[in-house]
Amino acid sequence: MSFVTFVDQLFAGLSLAFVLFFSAAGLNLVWGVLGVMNFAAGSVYMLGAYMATSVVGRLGTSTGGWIAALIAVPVTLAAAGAVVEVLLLRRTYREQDENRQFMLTLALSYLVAGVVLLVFGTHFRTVSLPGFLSGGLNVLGATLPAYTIVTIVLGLLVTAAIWGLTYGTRVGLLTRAAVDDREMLGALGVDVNRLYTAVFAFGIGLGALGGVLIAPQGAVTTNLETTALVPAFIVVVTGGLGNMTGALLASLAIGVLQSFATLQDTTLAQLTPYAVMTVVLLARAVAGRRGLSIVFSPRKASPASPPAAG
Amino acid sequence: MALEEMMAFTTVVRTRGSNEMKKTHRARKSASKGRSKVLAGCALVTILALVGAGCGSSGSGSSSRSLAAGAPIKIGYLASLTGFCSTFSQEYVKGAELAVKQVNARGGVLGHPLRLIVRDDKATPNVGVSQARDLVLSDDVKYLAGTCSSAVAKSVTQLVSNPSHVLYSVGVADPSVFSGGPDSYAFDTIPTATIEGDNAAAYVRAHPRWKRVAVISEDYSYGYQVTAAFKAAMAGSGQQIISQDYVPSGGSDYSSYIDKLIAEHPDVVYSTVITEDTVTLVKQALPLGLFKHAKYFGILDYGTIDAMAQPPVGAYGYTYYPSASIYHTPFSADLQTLGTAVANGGAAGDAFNQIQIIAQGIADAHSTDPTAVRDALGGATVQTVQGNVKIHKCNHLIAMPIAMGPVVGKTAAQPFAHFEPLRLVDTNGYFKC
Amino acid sequence: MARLSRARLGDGAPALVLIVLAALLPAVVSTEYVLLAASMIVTMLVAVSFNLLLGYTGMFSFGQAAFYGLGAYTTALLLNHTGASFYPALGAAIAIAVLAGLLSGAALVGLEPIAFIMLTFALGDLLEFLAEHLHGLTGGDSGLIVSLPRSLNVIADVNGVYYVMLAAATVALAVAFAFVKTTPGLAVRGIREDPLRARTLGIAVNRRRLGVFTLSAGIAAVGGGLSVLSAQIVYPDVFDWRVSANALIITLIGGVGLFSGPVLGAVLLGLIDFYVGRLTTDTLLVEGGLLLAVILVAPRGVTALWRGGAAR
Repeated sequence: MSFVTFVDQLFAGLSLAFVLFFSAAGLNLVWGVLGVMNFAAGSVYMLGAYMATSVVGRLGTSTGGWIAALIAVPVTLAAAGAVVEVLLLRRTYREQDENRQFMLTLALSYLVAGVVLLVFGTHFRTVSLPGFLSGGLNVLGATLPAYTIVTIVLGLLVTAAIWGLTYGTRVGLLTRAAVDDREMLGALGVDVNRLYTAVFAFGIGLGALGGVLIAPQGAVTTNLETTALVPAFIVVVTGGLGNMTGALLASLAIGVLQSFATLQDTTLAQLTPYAVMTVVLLARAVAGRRGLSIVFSPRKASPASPPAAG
Repeated sequence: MALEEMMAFTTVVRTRGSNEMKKTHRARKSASKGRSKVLAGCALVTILALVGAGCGSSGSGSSSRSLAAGAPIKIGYLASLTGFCSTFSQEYVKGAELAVKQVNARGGVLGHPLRLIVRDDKATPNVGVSQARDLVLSDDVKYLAGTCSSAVAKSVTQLVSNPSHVLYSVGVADPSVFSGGPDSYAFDTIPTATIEGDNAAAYVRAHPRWKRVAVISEDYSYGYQVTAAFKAAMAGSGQQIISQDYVPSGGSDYSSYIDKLIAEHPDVVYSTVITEDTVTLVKQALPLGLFKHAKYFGILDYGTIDAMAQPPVGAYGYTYYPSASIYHTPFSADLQTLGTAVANGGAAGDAFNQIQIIAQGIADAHSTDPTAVRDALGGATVQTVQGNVKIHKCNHLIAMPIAMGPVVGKTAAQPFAHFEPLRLVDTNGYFKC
Repeated sequence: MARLSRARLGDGAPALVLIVLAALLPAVVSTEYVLLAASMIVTMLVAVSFNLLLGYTGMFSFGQAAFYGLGAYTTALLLNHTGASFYPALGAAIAIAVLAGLLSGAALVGLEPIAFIMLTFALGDLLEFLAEHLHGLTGGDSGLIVSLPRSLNVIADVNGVYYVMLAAATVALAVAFAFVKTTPGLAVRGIREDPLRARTLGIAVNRRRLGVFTLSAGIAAVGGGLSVLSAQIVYPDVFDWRVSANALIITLIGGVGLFSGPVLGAVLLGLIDFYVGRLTTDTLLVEGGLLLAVILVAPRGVTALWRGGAAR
């Protein structure tokens, strides 16, 4: 492999990594903090992409149009997420009823997909970038698309912002406390409901941001829902629930490895995410049994068991 | 009938549900004796709904074989409204509706108007077969058309040829769907993957300066079939196929595949990556510089290249959909009266042809019996959006021309990305009947 | 525990009633409804196998598709290549799925829940990948057409095929029922209620879990094997995670942890799918709305809903 090919493939890996990261970030936050496996995360991502095509389509593909889409779409969907959380999801926390949460988010994913078909039709949408972002830069003889740089910078910013929020603010402190013991936090007089609504809305906004970012990269179709959802789950679980740095590292590992695997065999390379996840999960299980602490320890979620019936 | 009973059934469940909801919360610990009785009751209600529904519609299912004068000829249309190939489904439906509208405006066929019944096959064989079966059994449909999935088409073809005798007109690329010979009830409306690969090889052979050929395809049966046919037809050309790669269908990041192609230093990339995946591939290939490193030759329909902000000008494309001959034509204007923008045109034209072929077959056979229609269509020349085309008797494949040429941007005459000069390839030579 | 053992005896009754009614079905309804019932038999078996895990041991498996698909492909391949008749082929398919369940389960059942969910999911996806790419064996996504004798051709003899399916499903259900009603099944149930306590009581938790996982693999394989009869063709999507998700939906609609829950759930979801698909092309909107309605109206499943009514 020549040096240029190596760097090219590394850049391709970074590009893939940040696509993965943005599909997983919202799911990660909601799952990690609220303990809700949001099966509608893929739908939010898809809806974000569709909405980006219509905002940019209306305002034009200038920088202004794109900045508007990057802000308006996540904010709108975050607000919708807050409404859904208050009306539907909230009633499922008390009994830690994962089954109901699963059904609820699954039903929502059907509804979102149905609405997208109704509003946008079945045909794919495309939207283009402002001219200065649609080219490529020559770096060390290899080509790095300008847009990949944008997604990398945004990805790092999001990770840093969430890290800062979690460890540097009171809201972050409360959120961490809520992960450990929701009841106790409530007993201490904290409005846990409001905190959860905020976190859920933020997670949905992040998911929508991922959708906006993928929109100019290809055709926007209803397939985005499933092509985003499965890898997102893999990234979140590999990185450790709720661990944004973990998700970033998992995305990088999967993206870069998959990119180099593609050079060897384009078909087998598709198995990379599963391979990475399996190795990490089994290693974690073995280490857990031996009492070793791992680089990033996952949130101890309660088993997905039904409430005791009878 | 059946519907009303189903509605009644769901209402029962719902009203019961809302009454009982609060009680369930209060009295979760219940006695087991009463429970099982009520459970049995629930089972009974459910089964009765099923039985009732069945009885309700079984009467209408088996009506007499010949159609009463003026009664509509029903055509069941499988549209993949959801699922992997859903992107063109609304165009398919509009194209089929347009054909029905035009035939009916002419007074129908043999005095019968056409009636379209659209069902979502979810691009899934099990759903498609179940829908097709229900159309045949419940709606007494004798003509089926549609689906964009070869897998669905294959399952439906199995269903229609034996012993149902339902005529099925469908545009899918998998040649094995049409392996039933002259007795099959399935008719193709687009070139198969084999013809596509053969034709692409002829084009590459005509460019002897393309010495190193990299092939990139979709990672499913269509991609494998075209690639295999292309390779076979390239044998002995002196041009070298340096790689065959497969991209996952519906992927959102193809950069690593594109970089691999660039690293292989091909003279030309032959791509059978289709529709929305082409958009993704081309969009990501532009900044990575693929088009500077190599020529690009592949399946590109007009709607797809026109939808790209930067169409791959300088690439060579072909389309087996009729898109090149109907994009921005009176046909597409007619389509727009049905409330759809023709983004691709090819899918709508294909669906139009599927219905048109059924209508012509019935007219030619002077009968609404699918077997007579099948015999009339084998070897016939049919009117399509692209003009008169022959259906080969031995395999029911249609000799639809393939449009190809270099991609150019908007011109004064054609204000959209298109092929210029446009060449129409006669595919009759590919049939060995 | 004693309370559990008595309270559960009755919850197989609706399933029994349903089987009897199902046996009478071909006499009263037309072909398409017999076919609908046949498809319900298939989804019901997968859901029952799923409920054995989730409802009785608390293990949330996304791997039912793996065993369902193994059942389908093994049956189809044996029928096509060995000239075996249907029951031996089905038996061999079950054996292979049970073996696969035993081997994969040995590695998986001890894992924490999230790892268990994701790795069972990966197992199905890996098999789907193989089925898509081993063209020589499976025909890839073009599908594998199954050559069946005329007596088992669903188009030629709907009722005959239906009764074969019903009989096999009844046996599978009886095995599952016998399991949950006898000592090992009750011990397993104790694991779900409190794994730690079960362990201190001397129950080998992981060995019991492995036992249920293996049994459930076998039952899912029966569903897969029978699907070959009604579909006559096998595609790689038998391994798709949506098969497992569908089993989950059915179980939750019906009532998790109740023997008859997934049985009723399969009938209900089968009816919903059937009618919604025929009434509208906006299937996603309607099905999403109906699911939402079921969750709001019957959060513990329709079976539990009726049970609540009985308590009054």
